[in-house]
Amino acid sequence: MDTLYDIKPIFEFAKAYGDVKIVDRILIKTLPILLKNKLELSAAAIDESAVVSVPAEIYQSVKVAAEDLTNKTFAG
Amino acid sequence: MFDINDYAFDEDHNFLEVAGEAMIFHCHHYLANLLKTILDADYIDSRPFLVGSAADAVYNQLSCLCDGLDETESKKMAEDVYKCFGYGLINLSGMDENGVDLTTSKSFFSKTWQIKFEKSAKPIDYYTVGFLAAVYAVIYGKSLAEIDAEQTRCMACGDDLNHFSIRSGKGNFTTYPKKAATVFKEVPKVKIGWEHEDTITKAFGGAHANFVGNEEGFIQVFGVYIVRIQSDFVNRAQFEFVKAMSEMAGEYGVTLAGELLMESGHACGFFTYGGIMTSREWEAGVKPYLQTKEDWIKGLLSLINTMGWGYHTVLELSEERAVFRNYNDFEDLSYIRMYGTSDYPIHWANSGGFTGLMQLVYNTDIVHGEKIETEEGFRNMRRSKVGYKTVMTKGISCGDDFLEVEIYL
Repeated sequence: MDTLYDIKPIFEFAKAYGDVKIVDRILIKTLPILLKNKLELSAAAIDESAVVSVPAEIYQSVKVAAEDLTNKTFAG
Repeated sequence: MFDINDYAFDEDHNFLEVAGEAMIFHCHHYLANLLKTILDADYIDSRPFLVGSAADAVYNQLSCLCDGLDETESKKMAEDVYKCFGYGLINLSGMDENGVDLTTSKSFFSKTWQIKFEKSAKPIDYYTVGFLAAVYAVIYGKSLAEIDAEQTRCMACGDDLNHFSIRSGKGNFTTYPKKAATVFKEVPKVKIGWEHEDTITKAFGGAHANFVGNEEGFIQVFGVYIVRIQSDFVNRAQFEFVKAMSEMAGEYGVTLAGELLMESGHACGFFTYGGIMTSREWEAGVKPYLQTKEDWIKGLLSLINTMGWGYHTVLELSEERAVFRNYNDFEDLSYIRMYGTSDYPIHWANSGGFTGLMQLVYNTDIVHGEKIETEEGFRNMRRSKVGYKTVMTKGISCGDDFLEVEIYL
């Protein structure tokens, strides 16, 4: 079984530095990789979840999108 | 040569048409946000429809405006229109049968992108690319399908000028079939139901004609830059984006796109309406009639009904919940002209605008003169308050008689 990684901290980081709809913006940017993994995330679902566990390639894609949109480096 | 006063405002439908094209105002917050949303989805080849949407609308309009004019007069007409509508300045003297290489340092899109965002990695003035392609097609009798148009330098990327190249070729943007004429939904309107509505609407009637480009070709009013833009350009851009998202991810794609399209309208409503509500014109012409926060919203609706976005009204209104309507809203009329009917509401900009208005009046202290003008201030305010939810319940393109939207905490 693939190791899963929590992307919730990345979204929290992005919300601290990005615009109000940063979560939706990240989801738009990462849509192809989400679809490839048959994952349909929403901002509301992410907000309501304590942990959002995903495969490594989604984690990496979300991290890159968040850093690109905020122009900051995610240290977590 | 071009004079906006030659075109009568349709008071029955709160609508303005210039040479066959419905015209609306949009602010830089809305347009930059919209463009960024579309470009962020970099797996969608959006350039062809962004340029094509502009080229189609401008071609239709300039074909009418330049009818009977010679080459020199037509160039002057196109330059005048570009400046009057607030897109900046262009000099078409170098355009001939072979096309044009054109530079300008006055571009609404490139200038305002830099106000909102970091530098762009690629040129973003797609509108002017389409505009110039349309000018070339109209003046030299070309088909849009046989024009190669591109922007090679852009101030939004850090260049000192914008550079555009227009040539005959195989065509490098999308062209569209002829669209239908505007059909208004003729139904009785529920009025705003506020004793001062007619006074304010009458006082600001015709004021839209004052919003014309200055010596730099920009329209800066109410603390924002605005353009008078072809409704079908901007709406086709958002509809084509949603279509691409739908093809890629079905309903999920539409929902994701809709959230951000609505956010563009939200930012527009918040900043532009905020600018209006802190303007001298508001102070003198509207504020004397305002007692409650609800009056502020009704006063704003009474004023903006003179701007060509349809007839805005409100059925229920409190801090907790509101139901807004728009009769003959510009997004639905546009959708019907170009695509016919829709399975779901498509009036994201209007609905986001209503939400921005609620946010502005109930979640800031604007009624006491507090003004939030910065992106940071906007973001902090949104994060510190409980946000409004927005549900688009009815749309003319869905077969309803009007646009309706519910906004609640």
